[in-house]
Amino acid sequence: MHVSVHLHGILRDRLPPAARGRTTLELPDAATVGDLLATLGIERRVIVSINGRTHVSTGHVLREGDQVMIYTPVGGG
Amino acid sequence: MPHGYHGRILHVDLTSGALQVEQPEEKFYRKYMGGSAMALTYLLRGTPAGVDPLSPENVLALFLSVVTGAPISGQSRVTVAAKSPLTGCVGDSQAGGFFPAEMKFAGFDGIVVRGRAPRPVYLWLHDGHAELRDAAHLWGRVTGEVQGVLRQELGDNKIQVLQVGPAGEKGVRFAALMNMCSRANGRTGMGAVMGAKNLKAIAVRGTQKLDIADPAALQALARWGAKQLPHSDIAGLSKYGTSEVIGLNNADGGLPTRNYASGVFEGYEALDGPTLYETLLRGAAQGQQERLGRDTCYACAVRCKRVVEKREGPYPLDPTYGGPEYESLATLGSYCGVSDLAAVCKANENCNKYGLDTISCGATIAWAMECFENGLLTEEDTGGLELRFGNAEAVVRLTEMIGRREGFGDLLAEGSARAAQRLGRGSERFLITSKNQEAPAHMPQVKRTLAIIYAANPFGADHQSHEHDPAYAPYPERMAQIGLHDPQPPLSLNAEMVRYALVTQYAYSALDSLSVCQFVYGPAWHLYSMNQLTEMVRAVTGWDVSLYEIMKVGERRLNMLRAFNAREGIGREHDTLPERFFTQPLQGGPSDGYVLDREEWQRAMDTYYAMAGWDVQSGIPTRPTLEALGLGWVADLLGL
Repeated sequence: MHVSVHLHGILRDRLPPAARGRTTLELPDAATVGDLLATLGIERRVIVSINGRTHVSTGHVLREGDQVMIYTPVGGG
Repeated sequence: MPHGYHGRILHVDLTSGALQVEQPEEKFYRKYMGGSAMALTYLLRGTPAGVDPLSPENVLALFLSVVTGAPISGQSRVTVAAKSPLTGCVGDSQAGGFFPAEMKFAGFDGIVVRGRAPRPVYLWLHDGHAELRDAAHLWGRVTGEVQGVLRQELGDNKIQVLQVGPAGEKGVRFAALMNMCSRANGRTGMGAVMGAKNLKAIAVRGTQKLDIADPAALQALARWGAKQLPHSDIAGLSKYGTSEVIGLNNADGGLPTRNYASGVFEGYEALDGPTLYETLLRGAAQGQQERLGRDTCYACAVRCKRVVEKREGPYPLDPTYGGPEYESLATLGSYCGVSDLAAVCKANENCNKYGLDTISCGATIAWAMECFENGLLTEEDTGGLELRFGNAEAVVRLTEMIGRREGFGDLLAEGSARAAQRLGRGSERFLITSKNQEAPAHMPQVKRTLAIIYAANPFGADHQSHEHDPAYAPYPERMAQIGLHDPQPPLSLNAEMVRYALVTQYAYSALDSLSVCQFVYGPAWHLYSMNQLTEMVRAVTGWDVSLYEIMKVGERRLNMLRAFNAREGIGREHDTLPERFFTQPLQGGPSDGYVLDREEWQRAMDTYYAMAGWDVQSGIPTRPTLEALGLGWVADLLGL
């Protein structure tokens, strides 16, 4: 299956600058959020949102066409 | 000299011109440690109840801490406190930069200012000496000019200057104190207080380096931090600055848009940290932004400060004034529906040039925009400005007009709450304020414990007074250090989340008393944990200090803030939130439909006061609570 991924902040640096943090990934059926993070090599603490639902757990099973946003829990500024 | 501090506090009576140095005992330093807690001891003892904030009798206190100036990241910060002309409550604001460390090297731990100078003056501190000098030639000038003139006439480019801009001179109620022309003690109008005293600036220079108790331990901690930084959770703040938070908050549905009507902004990407980095950061055109576009505070490896530069176009940008933080990008940007990054940077530059708090400034303009959109203000009121959401030019123009109290800017210079009172026409319903202070750009509808802290915080709505909700679950080891073990589902506002708000409020309150940076030290995503903060204080001071002791300093400071307000007749009835938070669901994005439940919030507030040891009806600290903190003298002052 394919999922759209949008990385924010420092996580964007994992992709080429021209991608502006956006990519589409092919994952095995029934892959979880944890599998997706492993594929992206993200080990730091992050918040994951899927199709506008925020704070999704790592055990959540992804579906074809999911829109995934990944960002860090930094709170100030 | 004791380790980490001088034991010297300067008292300035501007009315008579008298300068005196007080040398408190060590136990005073250990009990309050510095910053806000120490400043409050002078406010409580020296400020008459009911004082007019812009009168000579209002005490203005500027304090460093026992660790300011130590060679480690995140320690160069200064607190400024006084009764606030914006809120009528206690005022309190922190800033970083090189000024705080340089003031320590000049030989002083704190400055207590009373009275009003007959003519404009500035205070010059150098290597243990203090003198008042004429400032007639500085009055009316913008911050960049004043800094240049003072460095030239005092003959040293390393002099650091903390100053009020034209806004502070003219009594703009949210005027800031600026240092380096880019670091603001922004909130609660401390610039107006210093301006009303005819004190234009404080210039500092010194060579009195600190005596560190355990240099090897401090160096080991500093090296660990510098090595850990790229792998830490503040790596993004390091590279992109706080502007990174635009994208993070928008993804979370928590980026205030068009005066808090929505938590998502269609133009967010134009304002986001990576865009700033690639376009307007100084040196971006040559790919040199790492070298030219990042700035730092004394001895800090994080380098989160931005510097922008632009030579062409309608909004040229002067690097003298640094660059925008997240709060400035959000309040002058999405809060006003503006996505023109250069315009937002220009508005930020104007705020730094005139000495304005960007948060209150942007939010006040957003309030006026909503009034205009709803026909409560017309072009006749605004002097021809079509004040619609998204009008970038109007935002830039208004920052200047407010800074000069010119035309329609004179009304907005009062802050949105007073402006609404003066305007009438039902404009109060568009206010986003608590205790008359405009809410920052973190949304209580999305991060629910902000609904407690925005309401209860003694100096008005503030986003840097506790840890935000999303940080509870991901950091169990660090949260355990302060006794927090039980994260709750998102949007919870139950007893455990109230406890989380209060305990992390004590932690943040301690950070503001130790005058350390809340990105570098803290209970969650920060570079150093609270236990490491304790190690740092031990290494600098040589005291056998514990985290328990540090948390108690935070609790002590929060109770003193609350006690100051109690003496002004301000208690629970003033702990309110904007009506919109309860009645108008957010529109669009992940937070679509989010609204606060009033009954749940009131229950949470009951629990909060009870947990804090305050009277639940009045919200005022009780005598036993104050005595348990060694603050019996405060209970006496309150007549409890």
